Amino acid sequence: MRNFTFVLGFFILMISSCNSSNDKIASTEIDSKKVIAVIKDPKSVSLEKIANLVGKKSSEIKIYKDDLSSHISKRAVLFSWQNGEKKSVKTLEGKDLSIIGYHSIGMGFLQKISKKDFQNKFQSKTAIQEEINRITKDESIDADLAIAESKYLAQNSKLQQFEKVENVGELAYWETPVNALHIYNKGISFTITTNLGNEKNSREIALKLTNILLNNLEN
Amino acid sequence: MRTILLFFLVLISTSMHAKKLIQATCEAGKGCTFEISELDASEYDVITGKPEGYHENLPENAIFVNTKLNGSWEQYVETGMTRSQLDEFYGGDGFTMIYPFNPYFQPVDGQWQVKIGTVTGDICYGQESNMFKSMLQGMSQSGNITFPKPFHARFLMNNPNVKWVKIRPDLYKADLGNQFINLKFQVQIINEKKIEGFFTATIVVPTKEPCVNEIPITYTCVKENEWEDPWEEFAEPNLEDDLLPINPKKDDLLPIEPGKPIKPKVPRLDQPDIPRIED
Repeated sequence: MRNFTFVLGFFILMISSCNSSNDKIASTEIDSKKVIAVIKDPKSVSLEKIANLVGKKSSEIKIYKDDLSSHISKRAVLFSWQNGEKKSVKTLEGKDLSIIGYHSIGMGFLQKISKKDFQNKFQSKTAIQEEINRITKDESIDADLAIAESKYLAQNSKLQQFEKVENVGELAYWETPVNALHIYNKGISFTITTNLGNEKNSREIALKLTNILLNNLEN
Repeated sequence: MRTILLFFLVLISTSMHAKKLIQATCEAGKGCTFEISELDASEYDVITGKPEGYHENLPENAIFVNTKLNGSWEQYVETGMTRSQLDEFYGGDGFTMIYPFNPYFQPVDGQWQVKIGTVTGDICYGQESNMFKSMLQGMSQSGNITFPKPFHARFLMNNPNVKWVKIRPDLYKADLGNQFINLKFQVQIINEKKIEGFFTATIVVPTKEPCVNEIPITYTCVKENEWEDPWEEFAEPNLEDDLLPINPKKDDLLPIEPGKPIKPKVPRLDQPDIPRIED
């Protein structure tokens, strides 16, 4: 019985230590070079590891590099796959269509930022209002676009929630309902995105994905 | 009285401001990009053949979706999803922004060549050279082109009499003419470096069969303009830049005259205007 208790205790300790290593991402592990390498070339990431993480075959994973914007801070990469959902729509021509749904995980939105500004984005109540003010006052932005974007930001801010995540880089926040992990470290910030429906383990997958992507160069 | 006047002014300006639609271009596994429609909502009724007022009366959250399914473009109106939800349905990350132009369908700036293809169709009433081909050559843009953002087909063939209509994110159509001569233009962005156009001219002479000419036009980018590498912002700083020159050049040294003490040419402030801090 004593032996059994010892083995069980050891087993629990092993599991908990495994879990905690997944939940922690040391500041020393994060640098902009690693993040840039993935955003520039997502094909360099092991598809097998991505597929294993989301329980799919690597042949089912599509890679997409969103480099449409000239601003680095708007760029992202996606690893996506069909999720079995279907949506029926009627086209304007009257055709009935069935559209297949997708899930994805990814990384992007790299930018240089101070720790204080990063913190303000997620903790300050005035951050969204300041962004709306900036858009509406910027005369280079089309008026229709500014109005639409401001309305969207205002509506979206009612849904957005941020929770501080410990032991990830210097500072990190988990955002719902989009289920994304925003990480700050040594003057840069970036975001790990998950689109897995309403899965409760999105946050855990985001942390595991961060580890896979940041250790990508060492593979 | 002032309040009443203000109320009417706001009412008039609101009614004058035509409703625009939020457009999405969505692709399976990639998510969606969003932009504000160039046309007013009422103009969409004409393009899509919907009854008058259909698009004007769509709910405020409506999104006009363009999606490519099995190689063909389909359009529908989404009213049950937010921008973020729609993006996620198509596999995006849920982070959306409205682009000032549709980045998927924006030709690159650079050197472009225009090739006007062979005229097909009827030889109209014995004419030897095709006047429409000559006309197109005169109207078409070529050479070093910086496209307007957002791109519009009117830029390729600009004529005040031609009214261009954007049918889809990649497709534009225009119509010009009367009951005797009808000219139709169609321009499609194939990719950021290739645009295809099609021109159809129909001449109708009473008592004779209509004479139809078709002329294809291809625009090809042969050399893209160089652009700044956006990743430069994240490049490692060159530490050598911070160091002083080790071997100073002649110009860096102060002139030394024999017998005179070395004195740098620095203007001195005899009575500096700095307030003293007193205890």
